Amino acid sequence: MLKVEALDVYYGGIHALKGISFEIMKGQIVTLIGSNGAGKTTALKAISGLISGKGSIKYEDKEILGSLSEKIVAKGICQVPEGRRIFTALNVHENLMMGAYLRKDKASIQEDLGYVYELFPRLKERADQMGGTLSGGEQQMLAIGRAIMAKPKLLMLDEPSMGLAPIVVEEIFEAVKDLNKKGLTVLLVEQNANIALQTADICYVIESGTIAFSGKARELLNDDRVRKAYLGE
Amino acid sequence: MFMEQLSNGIALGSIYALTAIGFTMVYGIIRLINFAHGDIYMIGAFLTLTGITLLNMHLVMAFLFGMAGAALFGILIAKLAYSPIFKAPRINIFLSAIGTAIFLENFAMLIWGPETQAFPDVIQNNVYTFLGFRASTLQLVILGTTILLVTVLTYVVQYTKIGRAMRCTSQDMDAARLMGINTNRVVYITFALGSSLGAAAGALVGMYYKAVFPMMGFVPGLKAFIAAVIGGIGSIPGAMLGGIIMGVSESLGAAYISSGYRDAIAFIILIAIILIKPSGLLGKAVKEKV
Repeated sequence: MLKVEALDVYYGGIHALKGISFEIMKGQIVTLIGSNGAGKTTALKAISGLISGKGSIKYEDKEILGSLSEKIVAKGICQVPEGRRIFTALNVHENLMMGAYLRKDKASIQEDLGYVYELFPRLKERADQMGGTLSGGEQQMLAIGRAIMAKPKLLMLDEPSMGLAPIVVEEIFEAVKDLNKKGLTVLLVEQNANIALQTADICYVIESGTIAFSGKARELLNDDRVRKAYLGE
Repeated sequence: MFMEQLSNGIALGSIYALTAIGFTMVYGIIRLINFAHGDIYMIGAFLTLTGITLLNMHLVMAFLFGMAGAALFGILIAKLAYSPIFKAPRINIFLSAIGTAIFLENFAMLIWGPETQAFPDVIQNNVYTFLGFRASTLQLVILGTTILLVTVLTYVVQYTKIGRAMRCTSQDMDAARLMGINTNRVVYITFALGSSLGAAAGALVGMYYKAVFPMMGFVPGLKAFIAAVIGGIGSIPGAMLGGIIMGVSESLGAAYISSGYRDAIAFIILIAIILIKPSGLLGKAVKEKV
């Protein structure tokens, strides 16, 4: 579905991604794990078209590297950015509707809105509240809900667990699994390697801008290199 | 005399408000103090004058011509002067803005000449009195035009799709792009809208004082910027409020204290309000949880 090949990204003077390659099949949950500054977020931003790079990013066999971000969103790739980035001065309902900015099919937008409220009932309770007044967990739910409103085929999540209580993290990852079961392909970037590996099918480990190794998530949970570096054992 | 000065102040304040809205909108979207905005006001006045004298347009048509022409100038400025250095540190764009202002002033001198040009009497000026309130036709036209334009703008920003895109872009440009919003287009539209309002203000001032000249935008540009800061930069109702406060206090101050302090009063108000409420009267104070 998505094939990244030899992707190079420079951030100012820093060589942030040094020719990384990875692949996502339809229906999978793929995770990129790695420490701070390894280049995970950069990879997502390059796919979303927020930053430019060299190499190739093919989505459904078509090159998207260098396309404008709105074209990429229109193709069905939607990113939930790190730190949620919801619109703080818009209420919950308006935030969700912004997710559907490019869509014109009113009936099915309402259907998806109903689905988001079903998935995260707390958002429905707070529909008229300003985004900035929500708790961290609720903001994360809103950010995911907003992305779902775009009716994506590939959902990219950047650090959804960041700064959240473990019980909320669990709730969010349950929702992600639920979405995946409904056919949504997911690319998950996480520092919390434990939960990422328990959720994902395939895992790529990024270290200072290169893919160090990759494999099935279940197998990497018991891999010594992963256990030492990322699971703190 | 008080009533006369009050209506004069409201007319002046409406003009500051229109100009301040352009400042505040551009700042809201790209965090740039667009110092060329005062000169857009001047360009708008000249274009309207040209429309009336050279092209024999009807007043309303000439006014719209001035607004549309200035909108085009706004887009060109955004494209040529700001867009290429958009990712550079803010100070570079700021310098580019000052350079653009100087360029526009000299451009106007080249095209229309450095002399002050008389604005023809396009509106028959009568004085109306009701309930002790005195206002001239021109003052009512200025106030009416301002109310109309601000109503249209408020509708666009609050209730249209492009308005929602503008609000989102001003809050978080990257997040807006992730929604599929073409933020470049939003920036250009913001410049176009802000510039056309500035041009309307310039044309109204030309009519009010019957004079148009290349440096006419400099001081009003500064004062409109102050009005935007007083009201809370980034806030459109704030720019309105700041403009009216500035206009009224300037008129009353000039009448009751001394007309020599006319310009100083604006800066005294600015200092006083910034000391008491640094974010401005209607500055955004949405509490955020992290």
